[in-house]
Amino acid sequence: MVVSNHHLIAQGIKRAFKTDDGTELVALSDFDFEVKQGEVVALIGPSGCGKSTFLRLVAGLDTPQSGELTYNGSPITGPDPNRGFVFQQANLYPWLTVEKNVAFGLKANGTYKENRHRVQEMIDLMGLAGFEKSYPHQISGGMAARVAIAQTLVMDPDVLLLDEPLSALDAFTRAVIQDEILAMCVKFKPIVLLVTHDIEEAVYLADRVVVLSPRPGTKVAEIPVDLPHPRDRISSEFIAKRHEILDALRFE
Amino acid sequence: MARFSASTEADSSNQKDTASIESLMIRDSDVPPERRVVLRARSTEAAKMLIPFAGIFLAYLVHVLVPNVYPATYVPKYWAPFLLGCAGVWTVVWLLGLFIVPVRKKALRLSWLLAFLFVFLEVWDIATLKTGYMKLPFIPSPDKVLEQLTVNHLKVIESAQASLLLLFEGLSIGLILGFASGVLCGCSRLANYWLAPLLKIVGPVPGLVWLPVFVKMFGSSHAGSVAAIVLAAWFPMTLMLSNAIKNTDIALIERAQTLGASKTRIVAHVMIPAAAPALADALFMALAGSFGALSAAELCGVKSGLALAVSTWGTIANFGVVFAYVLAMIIIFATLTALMFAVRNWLLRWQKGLVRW
Amino acid sequence: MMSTESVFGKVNFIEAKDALKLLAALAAIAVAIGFDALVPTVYPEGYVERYYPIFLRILFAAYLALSVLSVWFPGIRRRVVRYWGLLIALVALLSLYTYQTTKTGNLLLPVMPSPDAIIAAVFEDGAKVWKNFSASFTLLLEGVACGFVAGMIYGTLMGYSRFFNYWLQPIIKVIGPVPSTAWMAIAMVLAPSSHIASVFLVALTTWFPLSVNLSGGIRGVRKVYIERAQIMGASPLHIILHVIYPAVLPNIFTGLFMGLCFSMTSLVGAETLGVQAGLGWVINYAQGWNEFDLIFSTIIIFILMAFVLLTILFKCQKHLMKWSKGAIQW
Repeated sequence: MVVSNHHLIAQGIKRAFKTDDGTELVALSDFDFEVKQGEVVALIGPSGCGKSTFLRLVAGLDTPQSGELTYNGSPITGPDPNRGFVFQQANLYPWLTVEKNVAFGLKANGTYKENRHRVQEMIDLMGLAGFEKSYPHQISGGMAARVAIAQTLVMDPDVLLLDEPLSALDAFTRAVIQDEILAMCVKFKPIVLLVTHDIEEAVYLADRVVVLSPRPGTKVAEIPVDLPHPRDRISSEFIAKRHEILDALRFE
Repeated sequence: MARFSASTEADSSNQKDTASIESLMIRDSDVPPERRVVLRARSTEAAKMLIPFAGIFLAYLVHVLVPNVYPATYVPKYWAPFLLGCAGVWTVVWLLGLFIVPVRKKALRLSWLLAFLFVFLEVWDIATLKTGYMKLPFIPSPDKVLEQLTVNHLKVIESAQASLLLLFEGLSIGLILGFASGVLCGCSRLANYWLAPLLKIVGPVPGLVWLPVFVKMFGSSHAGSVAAIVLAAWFPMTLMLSNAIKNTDIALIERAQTLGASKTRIVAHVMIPAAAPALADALFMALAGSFGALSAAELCGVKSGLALAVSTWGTIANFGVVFAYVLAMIIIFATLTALMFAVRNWLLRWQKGLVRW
Repeated sequence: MMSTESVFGKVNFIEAKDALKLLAALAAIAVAIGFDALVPTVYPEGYVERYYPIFLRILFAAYLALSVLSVWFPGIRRRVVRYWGLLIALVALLSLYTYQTTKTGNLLLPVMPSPDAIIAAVFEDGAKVWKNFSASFTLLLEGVACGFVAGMIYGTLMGYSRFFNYWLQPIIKVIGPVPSTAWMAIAMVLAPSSHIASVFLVALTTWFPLSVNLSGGIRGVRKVYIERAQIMGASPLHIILHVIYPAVLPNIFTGLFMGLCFSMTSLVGAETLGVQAGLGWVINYAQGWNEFDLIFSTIIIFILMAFVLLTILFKCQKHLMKWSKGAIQW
């Protein structure tokens, strides 16, 4: 892996949506943010605070109305396979097998031939071996979530955007995949932005937790998490961090 | 919950995916009450609603100013008043649209289309009446079509009545029979065993082919024609409904069973509602198919109605009348189809990704 | 079910219930053959049955052969046993109908031809039937192929682009629901030949339901599927081919099914009013001359054509949509 300094900078981002009757609703306003390579940042906040909106902006699925959003110094204009996005629900392509779902991005970019081995590597890594030929309706929800993550990771993205990818999973599977994500971060050193509702997940994975307030979504606190990995979920430091974040989430 | 759409892309059908736009879903109470409804049209909207007038008056000016050359002695009487009438109607729509939101939405959507329509009609007028580029009797001018419609309007209405009566007779019987046999085939293996082969053999063959047999079998050309329409409606209803019922998600049925629902209750309240999307497809196919069967039956069976009129006037090459009758058919069939889609959109309002009209 | 190794290889013994069903069906055909041979043919006077007895014997031989094969092949057995009841009903109906026509004359010619006369009409006018069938079939295929291409393009444009949707949708709303027989009068005049007019009408009736279903399907494709492909760097063309089309495959097949059914109606209409050839024309002609044996034999050929075409369509659907359940089963 070539060590370079990928960085993502957001300055004064504003994004508002038009309602059916023509009024405007501000989802994200005056949002400043910075993250550099190898960092895992969790965005946390109640529903409607604009954290998913921000993730979609970074992905290039949406554009801000004002403010600057740059990746490695150039503004983000559209989606890019270098910025991988794992959606909240797996939503795999039901007409493709597990293997083909994982290979989708490589084929879309015409890089499947030289990276063919990576598909199998990723399937093995995610514990999906033996299910290569299964269709999405034949596998469990946990496996589908893993396929969705593998589908993104196989592209070897420099930025990994996770939009509550584990919210639909049971506690056990979630813990397993959380460890897999951490291992991935150590190995590939991407920028990771994680949107979550789960404070424990944020403290367990992130180097830094950004707390957002709802409507308009703005940053209210930035809390560094400097505990060493692997983190012990029931240590007193861990629980103290959880309390700190919980306090920051009480806005009124 | 009010639904919000990103201002850059307004295709509402794609906005329904709640998964990825969770952040955009906002409660009604979050919107300040004074901003909920914008009653008065903005000036840009008012201007956009004026666009059809441009089309109408362009057509009017061209029609009045360019001399009529083909056929040499023809004096148009209907086209100019018709255009002025359209302008009058649109003025009323425009005024209503200034204040009533649904009218405004429709009017805004239609504005460019209507302008184009009038330009197109005027091009037709130029190609026929003004230059004779397209020749009579095959391509009559718009004025000629309007004239025939005015002169023959009683006959057109009479034919339309005959057609509609026959259609409703056949369609209602066919839909009811199809619904019954669809549910039966979907729920009962025995019924499916005996009805499925009949369905596959009799169903896909068009009513026009069966018509001679039906006429003899049911004793009169009227009854035979009704039977042909019944077939066209019965076949898709039975096939698509029975399939959908057979494919009902087993989880839905099991859940109802654990809640203590009886067999008939499961059929009526779980299987049939779950089959509603297929039912909607079947309804569309039944309707469009029965239009085809209707006009075939009119031609070869009952010998009456709009389709026969079109064919008869076509053979004696009076195309002014042909166009008038085709216009009547377009209005009737397009309206019926639009009505059907309105009903099914209402029935299936819980479903996303519906085939839209 | 027991299975055992013997000198014949692996033999799956047929369950007694299935064996009884097979025997009952065979017995029914045998009874029908005996009945036909023993009861004298009286109507019309001097009529000799030639095809119906052969038909029954072929039916018997075929079912017997399949029954024997089914001892070794459970797959065949399932189907052969499945049709036993239908077969008995078919043979019973045929026997009853033969009795009412040739054996007694209770049902009179020319409106009620006997099964023998219907089969005879197929074979004795073989060349004519074949000529008309192939005329119909070519016309249908030409029209459906044109309609398929047009419908795919039109539906894709209408579903994918808001601009095209705005301009194309009113056209389909106005033209689509009006039955093709009504356009016939106009198409015959505008088209250079009656053949082209007929192809156009058949195409029109395929184009209409396919476009409606396809565009509706495309607009209903889950946004996540498309966004995910965009994230992975797929081009718009790649998205259309590898995301949108697979996702709307069920809609395409529904549209094609409707289109094929409607096309057969407009085919017959076009043949009656326009090209003056083909199965539709034969029916019209035969009705004029009260040749009901010809009508029935044409209907049988039409049934076969429709059945085969739809079966092929649904087999394709089943093959291409393994990933989905809930498609129409044929």
